[in-house]
Amino acid sequence: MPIDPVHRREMAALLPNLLAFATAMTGCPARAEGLVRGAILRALDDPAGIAPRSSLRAWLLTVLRERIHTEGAVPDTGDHASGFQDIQEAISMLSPEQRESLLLVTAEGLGYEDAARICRTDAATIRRHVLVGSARLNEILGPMAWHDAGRSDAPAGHLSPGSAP
Amino acid sequence: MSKGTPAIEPNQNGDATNPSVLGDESMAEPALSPEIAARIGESLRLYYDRMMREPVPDHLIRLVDRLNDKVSAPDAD
Repeated sequence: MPIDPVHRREMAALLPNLLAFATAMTGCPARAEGLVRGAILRALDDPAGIAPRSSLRAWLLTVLRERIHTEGAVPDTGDHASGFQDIQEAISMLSPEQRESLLLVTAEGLGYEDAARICRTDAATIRRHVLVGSARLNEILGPMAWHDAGRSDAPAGHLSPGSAP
Repeated sequence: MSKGTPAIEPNQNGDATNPSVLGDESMAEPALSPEIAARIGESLRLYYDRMMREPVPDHLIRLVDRLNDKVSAPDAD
């Protein structure tokens, strides 16, 4: 598969997706950077193995996910530069499988089948992880929190159900 | 840090009080109201989108640029 400039630009355009996925999986932006770097190095090692443009995002996410799991998808809850302490912490309490399934389906907008290929499992398993992970998030944050949990302007500490506005 | 990835062990981080995390497909699934499910999805998307707006480190962009040096592709489609 030849890499043309458009192909390369699309890979560059997917860097924010890869960084967001790795950050959400690990809870640590610095680790995410290293993991994404490793995934790109893998592409550099074997440019012929890079997927065609139509499946570039799925291919890159697959490579990245493998690296995350190889390192051990242990969330680091100590360093949050994102300002999303509550939802990041809640996500870190999920199993890695629930976390990746929810992120791929909900945030990346992939179908169960596509997410299953990336995670090397089947669609029913992805669906179950999404359902159980969602229920778990709801338990952790509480139904009251969902107004604000993802809001970019919500200050830290604002998301807990009991905290003052 | 644990090396390697264990097989799925939902109980590790799952909820011990929730039997559906045990991994058996025949078990009951948790039921969320569509409204709550939609809010969770929206919150996750906002969280993810916010991270996607963070600036991409230059060294990663330069790394992708190196694909040009690795592969010269005279025939762009």
